[in-house]
Amino acid sequence: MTTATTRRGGGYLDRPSPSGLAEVVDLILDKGLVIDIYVRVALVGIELLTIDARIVIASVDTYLRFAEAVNRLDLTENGPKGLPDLLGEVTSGGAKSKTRGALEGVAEKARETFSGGDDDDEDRDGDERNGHRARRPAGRGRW
Amino acid sequence: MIGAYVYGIVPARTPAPADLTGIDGRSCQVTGSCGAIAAIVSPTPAGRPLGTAGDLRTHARVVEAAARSSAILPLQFGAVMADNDAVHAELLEPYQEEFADRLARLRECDQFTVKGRYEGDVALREVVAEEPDIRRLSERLRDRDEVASRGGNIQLGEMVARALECKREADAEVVAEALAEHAAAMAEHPSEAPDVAADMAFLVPRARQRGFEGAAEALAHQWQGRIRLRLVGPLPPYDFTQW
Repeated sequence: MTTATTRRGGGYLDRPSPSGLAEVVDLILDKGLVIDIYVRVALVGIELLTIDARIVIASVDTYLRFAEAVNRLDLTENGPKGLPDLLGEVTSGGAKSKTRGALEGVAEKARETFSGGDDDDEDRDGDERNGHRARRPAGRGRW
Repeated sequence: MIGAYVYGIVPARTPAPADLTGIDGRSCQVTGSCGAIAAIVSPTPAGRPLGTAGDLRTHARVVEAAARSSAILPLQFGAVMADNDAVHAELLEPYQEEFADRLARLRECDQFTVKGRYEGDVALREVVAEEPDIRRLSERLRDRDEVASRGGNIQLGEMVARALECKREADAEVVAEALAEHAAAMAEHPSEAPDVAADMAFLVPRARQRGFEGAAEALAHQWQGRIRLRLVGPLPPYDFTQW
């Protein structure tokens, strides 16, 4: 990852470089003026990546994970398992390792574009059977 | 066949960014003017699938370079038209007034993206501390076996999810209140990741940039240890093309 976190000024704020791939994916995928509203000659986008990425909370499976996390919370000191760990579990279904997510995801989508992308549909069904869709487009290091 | 990859729309007679290479290493050019606007384009084989990490970065780099010297209305990644004539006749000409208006609103403004994430298990701890029902139910379920407590755990998880949602809404509101006064416009990114406290973009006039950054820094200080605040920018106005 090339995302360089620099701290400036008072130093409480993270100021990552906008040119890191994770930032770029986060910033420009599905953003900007959509040309196909106006006219579309050829548009080979990869916008699906971010739509898939959002974790859907409203599933029994996810509720159970929340409950587990709260039940494991040691309320007197720093508990061993917190929200980031919980998210790690929820996320691991789709995106393998999170840092790989962005790079591979983009490349994967490009390959699907070449091949027609039947595999993708199967993956998605699988995710839904598990009760959640858990792909993140961008690895942000902290997970 | 050679198509035209379109990066964004700029004011007419904007000088082409010097030595700027676009997708596939082809050089970028600014098309002929159409009224008050023009487009930044580079040639690309029309059937070539786009979507590698490199393509994405190139798109971002070109838009960013252009944004440094003029206002730009960035296009979504992956926009390819038949050729420069088509860009002129089908994209610029029919919408020139609308695009010119939007460009004028973006002049001398940059986008800043602010994202806050709860540190560790801070959000869960707050939820348990703030909602006695959650704490009571959790205590009741802790020692039961998995099968007996399944129904209770679903209920507990649902309560936690709802409480986290309320917490995120409240914290996002705090970000908005702290920063909106330094911005010309604001856009919220929908995020369902439960550790994201806030994810927003602000359109900040350059004259107010310092004030904006100062306010963000103050908020990061205030939330130190609770929410980690990240500020990315100045950026091209990706989130404000419809504004």
